[in-house]
Amino acid sequence: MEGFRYTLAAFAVQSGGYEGVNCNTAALGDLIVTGITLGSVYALIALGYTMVYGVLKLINFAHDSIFMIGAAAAYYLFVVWFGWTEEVSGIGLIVLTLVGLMFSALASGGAALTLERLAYRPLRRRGAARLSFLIAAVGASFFVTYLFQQEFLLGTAEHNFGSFMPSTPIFEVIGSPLNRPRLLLILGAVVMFIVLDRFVRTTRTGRSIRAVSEDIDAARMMGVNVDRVVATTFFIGGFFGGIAGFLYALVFRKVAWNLGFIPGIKAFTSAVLGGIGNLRGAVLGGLLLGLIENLSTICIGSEWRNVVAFSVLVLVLIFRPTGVLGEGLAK
Amino acid sequence: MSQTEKETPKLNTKRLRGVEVQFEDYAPGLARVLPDGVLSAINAVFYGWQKLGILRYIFAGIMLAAIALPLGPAKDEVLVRTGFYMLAALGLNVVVGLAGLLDLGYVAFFMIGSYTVALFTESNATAHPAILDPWLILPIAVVVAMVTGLLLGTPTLRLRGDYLAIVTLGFHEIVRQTARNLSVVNGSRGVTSIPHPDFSIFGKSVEFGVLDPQKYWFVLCVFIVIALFIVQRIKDSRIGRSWEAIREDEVAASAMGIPVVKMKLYAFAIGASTSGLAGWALATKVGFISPNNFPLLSSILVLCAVVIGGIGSSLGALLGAALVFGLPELLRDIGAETILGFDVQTGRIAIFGFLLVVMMIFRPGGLISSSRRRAELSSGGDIAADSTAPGIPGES
Amino acid sequence: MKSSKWMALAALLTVVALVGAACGGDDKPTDGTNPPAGGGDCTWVIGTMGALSGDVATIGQPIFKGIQFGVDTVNESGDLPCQLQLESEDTQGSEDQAPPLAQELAQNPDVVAVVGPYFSGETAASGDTFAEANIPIITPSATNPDLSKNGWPFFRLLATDEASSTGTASYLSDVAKFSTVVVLHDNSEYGKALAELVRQKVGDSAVGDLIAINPEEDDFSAQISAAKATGAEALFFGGYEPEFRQVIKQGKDAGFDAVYVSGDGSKGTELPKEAAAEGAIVICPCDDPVASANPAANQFAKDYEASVGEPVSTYSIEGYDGVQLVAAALAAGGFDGDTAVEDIRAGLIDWFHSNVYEGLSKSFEFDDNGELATETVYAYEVKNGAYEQLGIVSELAGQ
Repeated sequence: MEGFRYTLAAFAVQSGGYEGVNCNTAALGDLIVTGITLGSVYALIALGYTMVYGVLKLINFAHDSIFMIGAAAAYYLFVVWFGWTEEVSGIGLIVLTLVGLMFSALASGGAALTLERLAYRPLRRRGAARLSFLIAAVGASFFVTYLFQQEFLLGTAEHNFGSFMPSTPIFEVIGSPLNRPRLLLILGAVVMFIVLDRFVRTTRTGRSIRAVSEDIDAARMMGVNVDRVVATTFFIGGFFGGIAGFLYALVFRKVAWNLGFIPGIKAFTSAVLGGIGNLRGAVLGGLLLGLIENLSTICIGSEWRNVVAFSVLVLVLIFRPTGVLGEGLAK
Repeated sequence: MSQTEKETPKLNTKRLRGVEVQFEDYAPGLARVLPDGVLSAINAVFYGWQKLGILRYIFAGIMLAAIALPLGPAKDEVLVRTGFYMLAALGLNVVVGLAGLLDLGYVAFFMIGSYTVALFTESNATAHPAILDPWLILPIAVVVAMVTGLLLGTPTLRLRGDYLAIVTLGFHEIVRQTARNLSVVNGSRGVTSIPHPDFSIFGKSVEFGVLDPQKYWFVLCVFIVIALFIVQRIKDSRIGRSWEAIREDEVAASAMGIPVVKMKLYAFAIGASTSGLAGWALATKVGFISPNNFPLLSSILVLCAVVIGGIGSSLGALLGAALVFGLPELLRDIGAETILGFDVQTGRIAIFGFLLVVMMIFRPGGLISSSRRRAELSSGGDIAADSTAPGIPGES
Repeated sequence: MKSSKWMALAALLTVVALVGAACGGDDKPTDGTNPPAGGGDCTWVIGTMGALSGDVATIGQPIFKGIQFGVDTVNESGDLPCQLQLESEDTQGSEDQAPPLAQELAQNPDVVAVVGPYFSGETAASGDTFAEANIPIITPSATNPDLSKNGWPFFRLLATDEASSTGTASYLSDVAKFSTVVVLHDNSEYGKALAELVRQKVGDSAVGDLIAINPEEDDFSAQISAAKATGAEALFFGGYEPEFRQVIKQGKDAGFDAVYVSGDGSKGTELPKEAAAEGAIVICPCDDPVASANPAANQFAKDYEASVGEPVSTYSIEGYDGVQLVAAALAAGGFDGDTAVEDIRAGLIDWFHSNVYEGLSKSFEFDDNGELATETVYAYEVKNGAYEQLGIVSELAGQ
C-alpha cells in the first residue's frame, strides 16, 4: 500500500509537467487587442446563433458551416473567378472590400435561407420533437462542411486569400499594432451590432421577430406571417455569418473547408455565455470569451486556452444557465 | 394506407402472447407486401427465436463471431474496426434512444477508456500509476469511464435538452484538449506500444498479434452480446419504463414519482461504461492512441449510427454502426474510391449528414424502429414535452 | 407508409450488399488502375504512405512524386525480374490515420518494402505493425531521432533532427549570430522534439518559455504575443509548413520583426509564395538537386521536371533514392517471382545492413539502427519567391 501511494504521488507530480503558476504580464497590451479582435469574430457569429435561437428556440448547429460558406464565397469571387491577387489601395480597396462583404453576406444568407426551407421548415410543419431538430441541425452542419471538403469544391488543402488588402499595420493601440483587416473586423462587429439592434427594436419586421420570439401562437393569431419571420431571421443570421466569414478569411489570409469549426463552437459558447437569444449578450459574450481566452495565457500555458474556454462554458451552464444577461430577444 | 398509418402509434393487438416483437414491428411496409405464407414463416422464426430466451444471446454471439471466419485478415480488420463502434453505438443508444438525452460528446468516454489502458500498461506513456495486465485494466477502464460519466452527468442532467448537447460537446473538447496537453500521455503525439490483451488459459497461451484481427473480433462479439443482454434486460425493467416515461413527458414522469435525474444518471452511466469498454478494446487492439483518434466528428458519427439504424433499437444501433463505419471501408476495399464525385472516405460524412436531415424529416425512427419511438419522434412529444403548437418545439 | 416500405427494402438490400461485399471481394486486386507495363509477369509491391492530400500535402506530394518517378524509372529499365508496383496510402499527415493504413499494407502479401512514412508521427504510430510483418521501413523524410531506437527494420535516408538541431543552433548562434532566440512548436512528434533540441542547443540565447501552438486552430495571437514580449531577434518554429506560414503572417501583423526560422517540415512548396515569408530561413538536412555538386543529381532534377511537370522539391530525391535502393537490393538478392515474400523482406533488410549504396542524394551506409553516418545540414533562405541555398551550415559556420 505504501508503495502504491508513493507511485501515485510521483505520478501526480510527473503527469502535468506542472511548473508552478508563472504569470507574465509583458504582453498584456497585445493580448487585450488580439483578444478583442478574436472576440469580434465570435460576436459576429454569435449574433446568428442568437437570432435563430430567439425565434425558434433551436440551436442552429449548422451555423458554423454558414460562416464557412461566407469565407468560401469570397475565395471563389476573388481568387477563383477573378484571380485578383495584387494589392490595391484608396477607393479601389474600399470598393473591393464592400463588394466582397456583400457577396459573402448574401451567399451565407442565401445558404441559411435554403437550409431553413429544405431542412427546418418541413420539421416545423410536422411539429417534430426538439431532438429531431437538433439531430437535423447537426446533420446539416456536417453535410455542408464535408461537401466543401470534396475536391470539386474547396478540397482538403488550405487556400491563400486576401492579398488584395495591405496587411501592414496602420496604427498602434496600447503598444499593439492594428492592420486594416483587424481594424475592419472590430469596426464591422460594432457597426453590425448597432444596425441589428436598431433593426430589431424599431422596424416593423423587427417587431414581428420580437413578437414571434415571445409567443409564436399569439403572434400567428395577431396576423404575423410566422414563416416569413423565421425565414428573415435565418437570412439575417446567415448574412452576419457571411460578413464574419469574409473578415475572418481576411485577417488570417486563408480559406479552408474546416475554417468554421472552431470559431463556430467558440461563438456558440459566447452566445450562451452572454445569454442566448439576447443580441447584446451575444456581443458581450463574444468579447468576454475572446479576452478570457487570451488573458488566461498570462498565467496558464497557451496550449490550455481551449480547455479554459470550454470549462467556462460548462461552468456557466451549470451555475447560470441563462448566461450573463439572460435569455430572450424580446427584452 | 391511411388506416394503417393511424394504427402505427398504437400497440399491435394481434401479437402472440409472450412474443415481444413480430416482423411487422420492424418493417410494417415490407410485411404488408410479403405473401402471408412467407410472413408466417418469418414470424415463426421470430417466435422460435424469442422462445429461446437467454440462449438466443449466445446464439447471436456465435453467429456474429462466425462472420469473421470466411473472410481474410483484411476484411476481418474492417470488421474489428467497425466492432468498436458497434459496441459504442449500443451504449449511446441507451443515452439517446432510451433516455432521450442528446449526448454529442459520447466518444469522450471512449477516449477515457483508451487512456486508462495507456496509463496502466507498459506503454510509452511517461508515468504509470501501476502496471497491470490488460485484462485487469478492463474493469478499471469501465469504472473510470462510468465515474466520469456520473461526474459530468450529476450537475448537467438537470439542464434542458439542447444545453445538455452543448455541455457534452464541450466536455468532449475538454477531455481531448487535456489529453493533447498532458505530457504524461505524450500530448498530441499519442501513446504507442500499448500491449495486446494476451492471456493464458489452462496452460495454453492465447496471443493477439497485430496482423490477425480475428481474435479481437471474437472478444468484441462477447462484449457486444453482454452489452446487448444487459441493455435489453434494463430496457424491460422498471428503469427502462422510467426512461420511457421521461422521454414521453418529463414533468408528468416526475409528478408520478419517478426520480428523473437519477434515472437519467443511470442511462448516462451505462452509456459511458459501454463507451469505456469499447475504448479498452480499441487501445489494446491498435496499440496506439492519440487525441487525434477521437475528434468531435467521431462522437457525431456514432450518433449518426444510432439515428440511422433506428433510434431506441439495439439492433438498429448495431446495423447503423455497421453502415456508418463498415460500409465506407468495404466500398474502398472493392475499389470504389469515389461515388458520384464524393470521396468515399471523407464524403461519407457529407452523405451521412445529409441522411440525418432526410431521416429526421421522413423517417425519424431510423431503419429499424420501434413503432412507439417512431410515434414519439414524429410528434413533438420528446424533449419538448408540452409542444402542441403546429410549429415550434416548445420549451419544457 | 410508402416510405417505410422503401426504407425497409433499402435496409435489407444494404445488408445483402454488405454481406456480399464482405464475402465477395476477398482477394482484393492489389493493382489499382494501372496494370504493369510489360516486363516480367510477376509483381513486387512497394508500399508508401504519407500526406497525399490535406493541408500538409505540400510536403507529402513532392516526396510521393519522387517515389513514383523512381518506380517508373526502375520499371522502364527492366532490370528486375518482376515489375515494381506502387501501393499508396494517404494519411493526410495525421498519425491517427496511420495504423489502419499500415495494417492494410502489412496484410498485402506482395509488399516487399515500404518507402515511407513521410512524417515522424505517422512512423511512430505504424512502426510496430510493419515490424511485426518484418517489412523494411525506409523513410525518406521522418527525422525524429527516437524512431530508430525501437528495434524495427528501420532505415533512414537522411540525417535526424539531432543533426538538424545542431545545424540550426549553429546557424542561429554562429552564422547569423542572434543573441536571443524564442522557440515555438506545434506539439507534434516531429515539431516538439526538434524545438526542444534546438532550444537546448542554443543554450543561453534561448529566451522566454517554450511556446506551443495548436495546429487545429487559426489564431495564434496569444502565442505570438508571448513570443513578441521576449523581444527576441529570431523565432524558431518546430512544425509543418501551414502553421509556419500562419506564424510568420500573424507575427508580422503583430509587429514582431524577428527573423523567422524553421526546419525541414516547413520546406514545402507554398512557403516561398507567401509574401510575408520573404527572408525566412529554413534549415534542412537536404541538398537542392539543382544546385548540387553531383551532376547525376542535376540530371535527376531535369528528368524529374520533364516527367512530373513541376520542379523538384524537398525530399523528392530522397524518395527516388529510396526506391532505387530497394531495386538495387532486389536485383542483388537474386529474387524472382517464386521467392516467398518473407524471404525477400528478410533478404532486403540484410542487404541494407551489409552494403553501401551510392544514391543520387548521398551515399547510403546504415549502422545497426538504420541510421546514416553522414549528417550534412543545409541552410536555405526564402528570396524572391523561391528557396535559395545558403550552403552547408557547418561550412558557413567555419568561415
